[in-house]
Amino acid sequence: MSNILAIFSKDVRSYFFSVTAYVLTTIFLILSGFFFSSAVSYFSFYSFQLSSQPFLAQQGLNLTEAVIGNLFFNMSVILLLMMPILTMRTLAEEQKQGTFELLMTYPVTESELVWGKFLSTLFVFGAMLLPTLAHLLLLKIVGGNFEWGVVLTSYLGIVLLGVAFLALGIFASSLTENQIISAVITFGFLLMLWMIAWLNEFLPPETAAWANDFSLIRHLEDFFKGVVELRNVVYYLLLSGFFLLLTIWRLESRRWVR
Amino acid sequence: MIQVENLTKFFGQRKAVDGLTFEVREGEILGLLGPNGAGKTTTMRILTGFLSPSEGHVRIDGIDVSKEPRKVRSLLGYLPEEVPLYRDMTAEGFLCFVAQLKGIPKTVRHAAIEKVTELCKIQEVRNRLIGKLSKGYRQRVGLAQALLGSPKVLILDEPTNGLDPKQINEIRELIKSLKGKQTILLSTHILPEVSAVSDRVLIINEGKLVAQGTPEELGERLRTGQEILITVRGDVKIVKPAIHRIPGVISVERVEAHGPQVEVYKVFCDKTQDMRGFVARILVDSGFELLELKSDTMSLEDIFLKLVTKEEAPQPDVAVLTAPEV
Repeated sequence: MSNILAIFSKDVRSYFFSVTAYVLTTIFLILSGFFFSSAVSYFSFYSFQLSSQPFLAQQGLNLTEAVIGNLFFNMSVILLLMMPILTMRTLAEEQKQGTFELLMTYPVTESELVWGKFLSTLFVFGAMLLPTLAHLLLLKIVGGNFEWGVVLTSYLGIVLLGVAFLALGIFASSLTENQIISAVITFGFLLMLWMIAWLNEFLPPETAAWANDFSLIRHLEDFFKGVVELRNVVYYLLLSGFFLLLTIWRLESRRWVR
Repeated sequence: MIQVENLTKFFGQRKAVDGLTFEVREGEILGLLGPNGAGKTTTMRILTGFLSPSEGHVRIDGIDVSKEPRKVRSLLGYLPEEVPLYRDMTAEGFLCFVAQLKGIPKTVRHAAIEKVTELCKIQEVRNRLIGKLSKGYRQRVGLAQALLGSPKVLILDEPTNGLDPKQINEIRELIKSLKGKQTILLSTHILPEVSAVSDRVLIINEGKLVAQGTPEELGERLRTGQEILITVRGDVKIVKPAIHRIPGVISVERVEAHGPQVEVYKVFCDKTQDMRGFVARILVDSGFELLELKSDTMSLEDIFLKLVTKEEAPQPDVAVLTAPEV
């Protein structure tokens, strides 16, 4: 446990010492802020138009669905692009610099190393995500009417999605010494898991259902509607656990080769 | 302290280490000598438990490395060949991180770091970023992390690699000062280094142990014949066959001219006893003017070259190219 903590704090310090964490957080906030503000202006534009048409106004517009759902969906797409950058150096750099060899001659196990790495990226991810609360607080202050419950479940969904991204990214990083290759593998794989649901229309129904179950995005939709379903939580946790386990095996494998 | 038994390591089809058996005694400095690619680094990586052997056993302080890697690692200090360090950490921050991982209790952590910074003379750079340090300082920070926590066994892979002569000397002095306190295994492909610091030398080539012993013992053992350098005045055509006729002389070789009619010859004798007096008497009795005579002992350099260079037909280039660098 103390080993995990040592690796965690070393990596977190390194993220914030180099500009990586700041750049990622800033760009993430600019992009999510842009999508958020455009969603809000869109919403106010339509609600203004609707107010002059009494018939349509009766149906009403839902701020939670239109703006909050939109914000979180956009965030998940931005994360898809940015998480590979966050994880690409975790193990690739240690292997390239040879510090991996050094770490492995201390009384440290591979799983402690992987957990330390995972938690440190999770910390940076948290630091990226936390300021987005400001968007929502601002909306509340100007009199936006939305449900905090949905916001909470949406955050839960985003965090679970992020955890899966991180686990896959760290695994990709363990495969290579090259950060670029690590990022490309992560991005490619995430995109495939993302798009698998789009195949629905071309696939026979049984296969389509199967593809749906594997899709990163399909499991997110319920969270954005304010519903926490166990199978969705289990999906993300299983996916993350699977890739973290693969990473540990990958690092241990150098000793299996006889 | 370190027992290596029949250690063998394959990388694919290639045998990087081939049946190595040796022992490092407690408090001893053992030099592992071999040309580049001889399997030194692979051997050391197996000793630290970073790699596992294909065959054979390694025991450190009686503990099998493959069975209890974690326990063994807590006894070890290791300095890899290309000293890997975190460039964005300060020297002190790095040592603190290492101390945590080595499980040095918080109460004595500070004292332990203080001790190694002093020993490796890095006090003045302790708060600077490792990436900004000179190579000599970086090497010393590397050594400091290995020494941290006073491990029983130190494994140093080419500790003076890439340093200038002054720095090399400092590192050697440092290693020598640890003698007796810690058991040290160090590798190098530089010969003077081994004779300068080690008690015993192990020469390996192509993964095989070719010789071991103290530098002096090695010189003794490998002297199968005797070489004598003699300077004689006289015509080469007459002197050379005359020397060759002396019983016990295998061959004569003209080395260089020392002025008109004065030549230096290298004489190989097969007898193990001293031939100098015998050769001198015969030459003088035969009426030659003997100007100088001395025995030519083999330096460690000669021994090394003799052991690792085999007079074989050169192998096809393809085989050389496919062998991966380890």
